[in-house]
Amino acid sequence: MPIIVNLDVMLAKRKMRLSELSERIDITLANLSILKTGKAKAIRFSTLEKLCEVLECQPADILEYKPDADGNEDIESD
Amino acid sequence: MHSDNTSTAIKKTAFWLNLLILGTLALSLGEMMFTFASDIPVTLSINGEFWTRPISGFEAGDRVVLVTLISLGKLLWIGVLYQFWTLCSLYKRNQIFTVANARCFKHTGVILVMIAVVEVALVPAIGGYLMYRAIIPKMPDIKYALLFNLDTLVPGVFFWLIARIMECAAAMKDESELTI
Repeated sequence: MPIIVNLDVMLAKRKMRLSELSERIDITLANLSILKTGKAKAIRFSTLEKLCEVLECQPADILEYKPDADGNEDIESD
Repeated sequence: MHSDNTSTAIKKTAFWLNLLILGTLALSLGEMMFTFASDIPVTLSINGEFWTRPISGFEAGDRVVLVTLISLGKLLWIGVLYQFWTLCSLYKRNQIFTVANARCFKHTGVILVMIAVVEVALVPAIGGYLMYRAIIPKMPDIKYALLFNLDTLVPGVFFWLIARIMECAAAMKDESELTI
């Protein structure tokens, strides 16, 4: 998927551990790990809001669009 | 997400259904044994007249072929029971919307359609075999009005549809679980 989650970068910038973030935004460590490793299929606005609030950043700092190497945008059709 | 009460109810129903399936399986096997043991006559209509011969009146090889042809529908039905058994086992393990469940529904649909095909082909198959073995002089009369039995074809196709719906449900559940 061409959407990259830069949660680990933001955590490093804020010198915060994943477990601490998990406690502060009230989301399980397992779910945050799924998000951090890029296995998540979607993110709720409410989650994004909490992440931005605690990490003091913008959504664009966490999510990044990077097209695949072969130029495919990998858009799934319904 | 379903509640614990619903989950318990599903597990309980699946348990009782498993027992019912075991009972049905025993009865189906009993019926097949009875078919072997009771020496039922094979009756066909040839040129408007009845041709009949008990199973014991055939040679051993012919007897095996005929009993297999007659029991084919029952054997397939046992396959349906096995699919239901697998489904119940998955439900007992709390796996409600999964690809494995969808596969069970699909297999059930395919087997039910196969039962419909076997029922339609039974008389021509028995007639063709007996004619090939020169036991009967010509093919039996085939009454087309009675030949097409849609009793299992409709549920077969319906189970196929359910399988597709279950596949969609499994994909939606997967997506929902991976939405953070």
